[in-house]
Amino acid sequence: MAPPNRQIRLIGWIAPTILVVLWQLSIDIGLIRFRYFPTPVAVARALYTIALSGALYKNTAHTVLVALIAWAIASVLGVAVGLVVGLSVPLWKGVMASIDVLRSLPIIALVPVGVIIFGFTLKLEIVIGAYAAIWPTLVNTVTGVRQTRIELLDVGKMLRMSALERLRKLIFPSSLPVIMVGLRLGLGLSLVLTVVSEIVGTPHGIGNALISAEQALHPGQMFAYILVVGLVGYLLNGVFLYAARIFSPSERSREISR
Amino acid sequence: MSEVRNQDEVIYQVHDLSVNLRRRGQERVILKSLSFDVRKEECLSIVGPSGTGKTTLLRALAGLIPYAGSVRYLGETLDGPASDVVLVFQDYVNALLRWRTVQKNVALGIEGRIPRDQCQERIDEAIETVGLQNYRDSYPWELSGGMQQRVQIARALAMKPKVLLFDEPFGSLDAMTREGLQDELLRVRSVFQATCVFITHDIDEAVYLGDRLMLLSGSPASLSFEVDIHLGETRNQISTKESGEFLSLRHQVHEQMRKAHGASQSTN
Amino acid sequence: MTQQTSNTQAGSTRNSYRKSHGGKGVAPLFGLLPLAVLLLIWQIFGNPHSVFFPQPNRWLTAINSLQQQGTLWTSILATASTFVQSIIVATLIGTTLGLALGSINWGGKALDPLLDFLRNLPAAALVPAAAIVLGTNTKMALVIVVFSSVWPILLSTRSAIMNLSPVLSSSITNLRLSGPRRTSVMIGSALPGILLGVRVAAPLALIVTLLAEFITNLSGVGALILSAQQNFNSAEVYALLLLAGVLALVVNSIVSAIEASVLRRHGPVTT
Repeated sequence: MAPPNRQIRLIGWIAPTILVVLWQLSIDIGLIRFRYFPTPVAVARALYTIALSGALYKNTAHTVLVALIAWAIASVLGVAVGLVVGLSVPLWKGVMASIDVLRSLPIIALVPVGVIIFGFTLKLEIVIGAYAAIWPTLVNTVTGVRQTRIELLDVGKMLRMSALERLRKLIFPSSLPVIMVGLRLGLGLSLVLTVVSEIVGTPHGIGNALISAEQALHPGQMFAYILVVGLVGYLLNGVFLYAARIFSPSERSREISR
Repeated sequence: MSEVRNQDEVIYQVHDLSVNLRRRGQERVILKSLSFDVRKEECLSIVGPSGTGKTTLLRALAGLIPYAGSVRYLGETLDGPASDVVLVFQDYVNALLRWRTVQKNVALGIEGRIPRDQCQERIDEAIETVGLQNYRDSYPWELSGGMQQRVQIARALAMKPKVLLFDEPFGSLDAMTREGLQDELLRVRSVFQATCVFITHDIDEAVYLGDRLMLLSGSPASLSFEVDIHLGETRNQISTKESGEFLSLRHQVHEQMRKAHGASQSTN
Repeated sequence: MTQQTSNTQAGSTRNSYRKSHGGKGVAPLFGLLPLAVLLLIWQIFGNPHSVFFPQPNRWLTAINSLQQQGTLWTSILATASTFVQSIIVATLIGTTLGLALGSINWGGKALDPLLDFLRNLPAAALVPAAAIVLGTNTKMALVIVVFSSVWPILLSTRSAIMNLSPVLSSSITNLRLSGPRRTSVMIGSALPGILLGVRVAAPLALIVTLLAEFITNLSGVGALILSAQQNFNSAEVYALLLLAGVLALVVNSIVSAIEASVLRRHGPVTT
């Protein structure tokens, strides 16, 4: 397993390296001329500075923590509501169109509503992050439950399982891969929306640091924070997939990473 | 006296059974006025062209859907899932739990209902009966179609049912695997003395496996032909299928099927 | 264990009963009732002076006054123009790159980590960077929107090309198609995949357009939302939320309509 895997990782570094070198060179030789476009070296230097000052750690910890709290809330609510709506056909018919309308509202237009209600507080960050993350979780849970094959439900009836047993042994595990996809999408969204509410005005975290760097005309630091947001998202996604792989056999985790 | 013994030997008494199903808001009559018995420890084959409502009939016998008329199971009117009756589905992919190993799939029907050591004993016995002892810890999706279907059969056997309902179990398998499983089924039946109802659209299969054969045809479907099969206890893919008895049965069923088909076409 | 997964597509062809617990189909429209009832209750029992939860009729008043100021339609036009230009450019770039990357077979391993990283960069974080480098103007918005909405199209096109049936690719070779004719056959067969990418990209492009306008105060609906928030005009904030919802709905129906008309010749899509 190890050699081909390592090979992929090595090859994977080639393209980013070329990109970074091209970026550096084209600024050095004047191919790209923007006043505030930093070179990779400048970004690296800025990264080193914020890492030394402790700002990087403080801001990243704040954003990640808030995003995880928001995601946890959204996951619990989304799966619970999704199970209820998915299990009851009349309820699904009665509310699903409303859910579809609410989830297709552009989330950015909802941020000001949150700002008006909560102000630029920690609550705003959590509520916005959770609101964004709840929809994929909820909708995927509903879809997963409704996709449960009739054969499986027949098996449950035939074995005279109780409703709870059917949910626990048949319906929930069979929809788990779909639910996990929703959870994974939700994780990414809660991080992004946490950063958005920080950019918009909450005085903490990576988003706020990014805007402060912009206003202080420190493009190097700005790009460093963008890099950090990207890496955090990449890592959270990777950790989630790794965890999913540990808890379920290989075929299912492949479905989740789709 | 003879009345009582007769009662004992009949598992199902079906009288004037009709089933309507609703699809896209429209009520459709699927089965109309079926009457038949299923006798103890026999294998009743029911043949019919695709889409005649064979599956619906089995689901009614399993107590999974509402029906009109009367179905008496072990002398009592059937309302709700029948006890000691297990359905084996054609679509093994969806009938097995993909997230459970072979062993745990087989356990599904008995876990938590009987003592643990006894449970394990039955699981082992069922798995050995279908010859999957080397695949206990594999997942269904790691196995071939035929093996997956064996898992489903083992799951049914572990429950020690009185009745096994087979819904075209070998319908989506290739010919070689199918013949292997047919013989396996005959062998299993000689060990576990269960009553079987076997549904298929394959006439050869129906004759080869059955003690009695009924023909289901038309729309809405009704029973149009019944015949006893005397091929003996031990059957063989080659010699049995070449025997005069087999060929003549096969001929009869074919003829009846064509006749029923023609009748239903002329009435439409 | 040798016969893996080859048999897992067991024939589930028979249709005598519903296949799944929920069955198929779109959620019926009367499911909008709870939302309508909620708005009605809000209207009837809401506090007419509430700062946080203005009644729905005040939303309509707010949107009306925006229209009278003349800012409403110019803003909608500005947003629509950025959106339309971006989605066209993104489709062109995404399809081209997708075709190119799908045709070279070593591309996957070498480029996947980079593509994965780039497409997951949150647009919100890129907006301030683009603004500082390019200035606050429509070009900046275009660059950001294209950058964030190109990925679904690119990846979907690439996988459509990579999953072209072997029969088709060998018949392309067999017919000795080359150059532009080869490309046009490839595009034709990858069309469902391309359109799938556009369907995912379009709502994303709208959101990023609004986001870019909102963060940089660049004229458009996003800027209206920003000024409503800054003036603490809650009725206007809700009204613009409604407007944004309507825009999303319009975008979705246009994309679906285009997809349906283009794909009529392709038969049912299996993606």
